[in-house]
Amino acid sequence: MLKLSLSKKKSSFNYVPGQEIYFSTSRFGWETEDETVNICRSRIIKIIFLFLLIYTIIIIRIFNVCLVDGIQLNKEYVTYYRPRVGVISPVHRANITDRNGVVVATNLPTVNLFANPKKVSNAKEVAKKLSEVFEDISYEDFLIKLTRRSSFVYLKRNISPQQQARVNALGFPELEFQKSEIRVYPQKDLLAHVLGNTDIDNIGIAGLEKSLNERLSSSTKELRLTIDLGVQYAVRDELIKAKEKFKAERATAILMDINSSEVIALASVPDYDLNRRDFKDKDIKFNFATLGVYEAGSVFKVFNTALGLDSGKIRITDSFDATKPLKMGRHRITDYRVPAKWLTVGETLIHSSNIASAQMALKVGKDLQIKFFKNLGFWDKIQNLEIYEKGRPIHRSEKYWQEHTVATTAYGYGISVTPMHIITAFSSILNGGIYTPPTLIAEADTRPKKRIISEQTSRDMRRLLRDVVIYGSGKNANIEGYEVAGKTGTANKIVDGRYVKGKNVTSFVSAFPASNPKYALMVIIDDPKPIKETYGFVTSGWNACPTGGNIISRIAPQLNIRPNFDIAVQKEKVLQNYSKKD
Amino acid sequence: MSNVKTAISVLWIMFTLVIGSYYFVLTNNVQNLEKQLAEINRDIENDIRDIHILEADWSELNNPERLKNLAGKYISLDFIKPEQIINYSALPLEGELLENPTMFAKNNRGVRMLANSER
Repeated sequence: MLKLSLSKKKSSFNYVPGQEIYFSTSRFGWETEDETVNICRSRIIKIIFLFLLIYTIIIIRIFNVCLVDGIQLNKEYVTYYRPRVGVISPVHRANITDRNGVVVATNLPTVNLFANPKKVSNAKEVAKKLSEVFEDISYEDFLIKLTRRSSFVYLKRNISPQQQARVNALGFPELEFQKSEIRVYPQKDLLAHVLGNTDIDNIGIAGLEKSLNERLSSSTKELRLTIDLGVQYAVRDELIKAKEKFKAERATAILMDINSSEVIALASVPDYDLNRRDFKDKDIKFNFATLGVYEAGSVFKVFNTALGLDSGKIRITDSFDATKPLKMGRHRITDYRVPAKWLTVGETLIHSSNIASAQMALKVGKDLQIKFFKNLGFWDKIQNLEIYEKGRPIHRSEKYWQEHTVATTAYGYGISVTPMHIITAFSSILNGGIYTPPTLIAEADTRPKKRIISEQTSRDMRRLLRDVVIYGSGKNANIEGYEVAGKTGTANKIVDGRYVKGKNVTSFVSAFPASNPKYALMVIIDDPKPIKETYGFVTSGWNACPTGGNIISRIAPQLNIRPNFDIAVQKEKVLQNYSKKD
Repeated sequence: MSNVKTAISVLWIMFTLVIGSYYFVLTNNVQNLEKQLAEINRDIENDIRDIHILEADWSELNNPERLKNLAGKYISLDFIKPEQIINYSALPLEGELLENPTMFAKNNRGVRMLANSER
């Protein structure tokens, strides 16, 4: 602190008039001029050094922060202070593509028209003009919205750029626009039941859109399906034709890669255009392929035979007495158009004998049958499949699984499963005996695989089922060159808890080519009607089976499967064709 | 002494000016780059939106039913039938073609027509 030296050392100071008076910062009395300057200088130097030290620290810190280890900031800080590097996708829901990359679901930018009713002074005029732009909304509707007691109201969501331009041209400053997105399905109804749908806020409400809502809305990485669009079209097209031809209530088909259980096509008609959100008929939204549980009938003989052969309790050469109905307490098991004789295992499948199948099952027994069905996934909802709509099988509990249940399930009564259960199990029987849960998503494969039957049993089953198509009820699906192996099934339909005579659900499950199966196909026709072409029959061999044949002959070349023709026969045909053309 | 002082002061002033100017230029450049970056980001976002629209359009144009109708209308192409796919060894050999002169002539005619059309 500066002090006036004069006041402090007053007593020892002899003032001579005219003498200069010095002020000093020293505490020890009067000092010379040089001493004072020296003290000042030393202090200034100290201050300079202090500042230099501070600046040096700051410079070192800046270097350290900028060049050495960077600054450790919060994420919020970083986004706030740093310029944004990289693009945040303007689209907020991932695309879905088929296995070849064709987009089947995408989000497109749109705008919503909204207003603050409190700011709208001339509601009647605005409503009148808006109803002229949007013909689907009446003047009254707009007026109600514009006179509502709120500060925000959507007048119309997802309007087109043309409509936006027209609204702008009206010149009402009260009308405002909000950026938005709309989910669009360019393939319309082709994948209706697989994709499902979203609501107006782009939240999945059905199908994959619902089950994978989290994945689709959290990442913009496209979701690739296992579905092949070209094959899907062919399958659906044939189903629509079959449904019309047989005046059926519903038709469903699933095509599966037999080794990987990837679903290549899944169609269920009737279906709907996914871009429309105003359907009244809820029935068209029912996905029979994964949600519809039904008694499959004779198709179950495939599993029954495979179990019998694999258990070792039945040999392929064994015969069963089908000469008379099988009595089980008050139940009586009969056959439909089967020769009354002793049938071998192969003949049991070819003629589709209920009596012989029941005998096989009884020989195998309850415990093995239940264990086998559990292994095939018939006890629970289908595993892994990503779709939301999955049906729970209906069956008796183990406790009430009695002898007659063992017998009836052998030919597909007494247990109801979905078509997806059946085709997945069928694939595992024919692919060499490995069960793989089905999938619709072509991503990293982490599905658990398990052996169901031995390779030898699988080979036997291929041969037996090939015979069914050559000699048995599957003749109408015997497409030359593609070695179709399969089994038909016709089951009485249950309506309101009772079997209805004359109403059937017919199924055809097949694999091709039998010598080295690549694909499995299942066709189901719900309540087909007899027509002239089928001579009044409504069994599977007359409707589901030829539909399956049509599908196979159409999709096999698409799937790049080379037909296995007899070369000599083919050569003969080629020469004949040339001659005919001449 | 005062010379040294002056020199140091001038040096400091120059140093401050240089640093100040450099800082000004740098800030200006950074602001310009940020503007550019924002513009590029905006362009990319617009492009992503456009790509989405084009992809949807392309998918709709590739609708199998539409392609089938177009193929039927303009190039009379139909689905491949299994019997159209034949084994190479099932194709008739030259000798077999000679045994059937009409077929041979027809084949030759076809080849000639094709060659002429290519010319």
